[in-house]
Amino acid sequence: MNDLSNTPIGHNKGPAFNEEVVNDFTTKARDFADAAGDWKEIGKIETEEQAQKANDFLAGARKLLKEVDDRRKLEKQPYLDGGRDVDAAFNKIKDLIDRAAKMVKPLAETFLREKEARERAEREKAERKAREDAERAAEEQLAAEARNDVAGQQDAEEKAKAADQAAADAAKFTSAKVSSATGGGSTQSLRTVKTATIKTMNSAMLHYRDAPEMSELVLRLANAEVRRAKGETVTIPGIEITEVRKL
Amino acid sequence: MMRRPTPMSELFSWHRAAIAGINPPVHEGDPQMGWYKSRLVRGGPFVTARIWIKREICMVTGKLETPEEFTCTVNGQIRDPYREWVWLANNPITKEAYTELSMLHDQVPAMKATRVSINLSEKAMRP
Repeated sequence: MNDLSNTPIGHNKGPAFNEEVVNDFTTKARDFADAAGDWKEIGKIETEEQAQKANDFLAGARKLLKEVDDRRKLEKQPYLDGGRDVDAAFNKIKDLIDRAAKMVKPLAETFLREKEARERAEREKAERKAREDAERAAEEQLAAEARNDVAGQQDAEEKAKAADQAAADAAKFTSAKVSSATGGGSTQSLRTVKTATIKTMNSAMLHYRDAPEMSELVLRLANAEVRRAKGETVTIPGIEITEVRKL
Repeated sequence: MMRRPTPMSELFSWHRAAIAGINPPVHEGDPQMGWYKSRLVRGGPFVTARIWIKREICMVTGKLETPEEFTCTVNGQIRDPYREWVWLANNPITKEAYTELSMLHDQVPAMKATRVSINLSEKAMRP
């Protein structure tokens, strides 16, 4: 017996489009492709009559393209509607959960920020104490050396080592954390998010001058301006506008 | 009084000027001899049309035996030249183009249906 446990829902439904319509359009498209080969073979259009026929070929191709695209949209529409219905149903649920989380998140963030501030203050206090202990240990070391007090020197060295260790521990950056109450959630901590805002447009544009996206954006803006001018002369600094006669 | 036949050069003068792109004036009720193309329906294929003079000329005297009468066919059907003239005047064509258009009707199946919009997407036009 075949194991169908891994097959997706609707796998046995057949194609999502009307095969007969697609086959009919495929035949027509192949005819146009074949005719295009005939046109290519003549090399150059020499007579008015041929030019008129070529015009009709192009008109036919454009019309067929529109017919195919209109039918594509028609065949696709029920699936788009279905997709929209599915999205609507599930997005409503997602939205509800989102709103709930958005209510609680600020509370957790505020707690973590305050905890981080407290821990930072304690860390700074510990660093200060470690520095003071280290200074005191150094003074005791000197005094013990002056007295030829070997035991005293040993004590002072140990205190200095302990102070160094305490300073190192205090210097380690740790962000405040909150663990899960039950063990089911992961430990959370704040993360630093950096975002950019434009302060000086000219400097920023100069910086990104060589980025490919910059030239694409500039060309897009320039071409949109040329189109808006509707044939009128347009002058754009740094942009050359060329004219080509096309069919 | 017997009339002399109108010379062919005069009969074709309007059509010649139109083909040359001179845009001679069009007067309603004043058909001009020549070859034309037309459509039977909006968006329909071009069909051939012709206006000519029907007349009888005496072989001996060279004079008209009957009055000169304008005759017209559109897509092979006899039509009133005075009614058709205003539409035909928009599309004068050469005699060669008239012949080619007639042949095209045999070559392009879509052109056979002269009373429906021609559907160029049905079959690709070939050179």
